[in-house]
Formats: sequence, C-alpha cells, structure tokens
Amino acid sequence: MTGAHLTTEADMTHAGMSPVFGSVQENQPGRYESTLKLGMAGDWVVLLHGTLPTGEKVERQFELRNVRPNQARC
Amino acid sequence: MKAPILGALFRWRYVRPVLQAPLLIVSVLMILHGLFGPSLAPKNLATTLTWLHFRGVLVLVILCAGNFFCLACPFMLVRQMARRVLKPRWNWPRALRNKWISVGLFVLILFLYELFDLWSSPWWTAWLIIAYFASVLLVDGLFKHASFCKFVCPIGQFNFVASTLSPFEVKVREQSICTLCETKDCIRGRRESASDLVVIRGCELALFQPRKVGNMDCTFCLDCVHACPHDNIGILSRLPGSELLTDPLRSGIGYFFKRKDMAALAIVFCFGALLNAFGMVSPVYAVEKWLAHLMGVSHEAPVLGTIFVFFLVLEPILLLGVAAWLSRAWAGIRRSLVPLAVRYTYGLVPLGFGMWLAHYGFHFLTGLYTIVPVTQSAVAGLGYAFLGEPRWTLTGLPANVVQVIEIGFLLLGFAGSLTVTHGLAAEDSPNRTLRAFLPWAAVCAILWICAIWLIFQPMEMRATMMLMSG
Repeated sequence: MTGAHLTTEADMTHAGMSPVFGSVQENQPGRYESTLKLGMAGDWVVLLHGTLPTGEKVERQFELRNVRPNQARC
Repeated sequence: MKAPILGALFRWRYVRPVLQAPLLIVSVLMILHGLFGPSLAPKNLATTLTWLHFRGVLVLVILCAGNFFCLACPFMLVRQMARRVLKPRWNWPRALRNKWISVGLFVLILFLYELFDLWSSPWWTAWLIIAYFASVLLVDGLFKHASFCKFVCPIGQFNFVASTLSPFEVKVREQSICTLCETKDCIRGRRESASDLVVIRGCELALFQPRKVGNMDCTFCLDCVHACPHDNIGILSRLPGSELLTDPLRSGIGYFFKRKDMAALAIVFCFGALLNAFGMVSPVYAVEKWLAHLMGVSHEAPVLGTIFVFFLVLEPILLLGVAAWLSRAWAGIRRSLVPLAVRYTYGLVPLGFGMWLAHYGFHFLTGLYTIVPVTQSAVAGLGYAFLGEPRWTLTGLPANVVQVIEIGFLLLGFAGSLTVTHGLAAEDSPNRTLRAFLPWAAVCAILWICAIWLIFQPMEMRATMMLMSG
C-alpha cells in the first residue's frame, strides 16, 4: 500500500505516562518507517493512526515488551 | 463548622448524599468505560481516574484536611439506598470485631495489583469497583451499623491510618456540655420522644464522641454532628499526628498498644508503601528473576508472594523486633517486647504516609491533565464532538519538578516519625530518652533511606503476567 498518511503514538501501559508521538515516512513504495524515542523502560503499546489513499481510516495497535530506554525503529 | 458557607454545609443533614451522588455517577461511568471503552489504560476513564486521580487526590485531601473521601464514599450511598429495602438482621460477629480481615484484604489488593497489573487493565479495574459495590451490599445488607467500614473496607482502613496525620478531626467542642447530656444522641441517635424511634442515626462505628480520640475509625460521616442536640460536635483543627503521641483509652478502639491488629494495619500501611513503589522500578525485575531461578519456578505468583512475605512480615519483625529489644535493654523500659514493638509501630505511620504521598503524588501530578483527553475521547466515542479532538499531548507536571515534591513529602514523613517516636520514648523513659529513641530513629532512617533510593530508581512497568525470562 503506497501513499498512506500515517502517524505513530507510543503509550506505556500505566495511565498518566507521557505518550510519545512520531511521524511516519514512506522511504520506499509500501515501506513505512517511524522513529519513536521511548524514554522509559518497560512495556509499551504502539498505535498506528492514519488514512489510506482510498480515504479509509486505519488504526492498528501492537505491543513492545521489555523495552530498554533507547530509540525504537518500527 | 463555624466557617461561613462550609459550616452550614457540613451541618446540613443531607450533605453526605449530596457529596456522594456525583462520585456515584463518576463510579458508574468508570465501570462502563472500563468494561466497554478502550483497553489501553492511558485512554480509559477507569484506569486514569482510579490509579491517577482518585489515589492522588485522596492522599492530598487527607494531608490537607481529613478523611473527606469516606464522607463522600459512593459505596455508602448505594448501601444506604439498599437499606431502605434490605434490613440487616445481625450484629457483626464479636470474634471478628478487629482489623484482621481488613488487613488481609489490604494485602490481597496490593498483591493482586502487582500480580494482575491492575493499573494497566481498564477491565479488571472496572471489576474491582463492581466487586467493591457488591461487597458493601453483602456485608452491610446482612450486618447492622457500619460493619463494612469498620471491619472490612481496605480503602477505609488506609484512610483511617493516614488521617491520624490530618489537620482536622471530628470532635467535641466543650466536654462540659457532654457531661450534662443525658440522651447521648451522638451514639444512640436522635430519637422521637413518643416512639423512641431513631430519626437521625448516631455513630455507626461505635465512636462515643466524649471519649473519642483522634481520627482512627472515623469516616467523617457527620452522623454525630447531625444527631447532637447541642450543636457541640464539629470538624476542628488540631496538630497533625498528635494523636499518635499519646495512647489513652479510645472509644470504640481501646488502647493502641493492646491492638496487635491495628499495629499490623500500621505495618502494612508503612511497609506496603515501600513495597508498592518497589513494584514499579527496574530493580524489582532483577529481584524477581533471581528469586524465580532460586525457587525453580516460572510463574510470577510464588515469586511475588515471597517478596510480599519479606516486605510485610520478615522485614518488620526484624526491624521492629531488634529496635524494641535494644530500646528495652538500653533504656530499661519495663514494657514487654511485643507490646513495646506494637506501641512504636504507630510511630512509623508518618513515614509510610510520606511514601504514599510521594508515590501517588507522582502519578497524580505527572498525569494531572490526562483526564481531559480521556474525557474528550470518551465523549467522542459516544458520538458527541462538542468537547473537541482529544488533546493527547496534555499530561502533567514535569517529572523532575515532581521529584522535588516527592522528596519534600518524604522529609515531612521522616520528621513526623522521628517526632512521634521521640515523644513515645520520652514518655517511656524520661531519664534515658535518647537511649529509648535511638533504635527507633535508626529504623526510621533505614526506611527513609530506602524510600529516597526508591524515588531515584528508573521506573519500569511491565503489564503482562511475565514468565521469568529475559
């Protein structure tokens, strides 16, 4: 899928922790890359928000477990 | 109660249901959002309001005022409505008129909180609230008076212990007026003269106002205020923690030094504060992994159980036992070892409260504004857009600023515990006060250093029932 407009958001599993927001770049056709700086160790949930070229809204959620405080590329 | 507006409000018979009603509505919304809303904790009202705002505001209100959360308890409103239909038939069993059940429940909730990562689950948080309502209806549907509040409710026990440090207390204004009072409405209730039926109930927690001392077991329900025919009971100011410096005979409680169950509650309150915070920092996972390897288990429950036994049983026995033995031997205090340890346990309450303030205050202040986007999102989820797009960038105060406040709370708690234990030591051994005091000061210092170490540890929250791997 090319031409999608996407953003990422990472949340910890505890309420109140600062979310991290990232933009998404389509570096190659159909290949999207986002950089999120996760400042706290532990479990994170990454949310993918966006709009497909067809206008359809997309929401996806996936977990990152046992993150060490570092950059995560996804 | 003499304050303008507030005084009239608290003297009004219906102040309690008026305060309870909004919290009941909020509780219902939390349950609904927890069960049917987003499964991610930072996006859900149940987890945000419970683990950030409720806990944080609770400890701050107790610090600055008193046990007003028990006054506004939504569970009691439901109970009161149910009692129009369900008439409880029995008195709470005499053998259970102590704090052991509530201590066990307090520990259980702390344990389940860690084991099931309740803070990360809107669904489980909602069910915890539902279970609480069900428990209140069951206990107070069967048993008379405020049996749930006095003997069961873990939140209430936490509030009772913490409010020994509050600056306000429900108490008698003039003892001489009580001496002349023949009807004792504050505990018997205001009765209709012809039928002797109670028209305004008295204290359901068996606290007879003329002999009530302090805030332990007081829910600030104000039944005594409303029942008193002489307007002789009010919410009066006092020196925070002063009730821990003395141990007179307390109505509805007895002597603190004879109440091992209350001392156990104080131990869970104090040592549980450190344990609860420890569960959220990086070193706990290394400890869990090491213990799992040592015990040859892969599930978290036995490992967590071992940590709980260490923090809530072994560590207190060791620290309090050694301190009691030392102060007894060194200062020649004539009390037996166990009553002595029990007596000084209450001196650790300020430290414990300082740790709860630091921990809950941290989450509350750093996540202070998150209720805005969560509410916006909840309303939008119902199809209403009038609150606008959720502003997920709103969080709270910076962590480095809040850390300074945490240190302040811990210093306050440390100073409070040193003051209380010194006061007890001076009473026990007027000629060798320092010798009586130093062992307990050392315990306070050890716990305080642990608390300071804790708040400087990196936080790490893992929200899964982890296998002990990696």
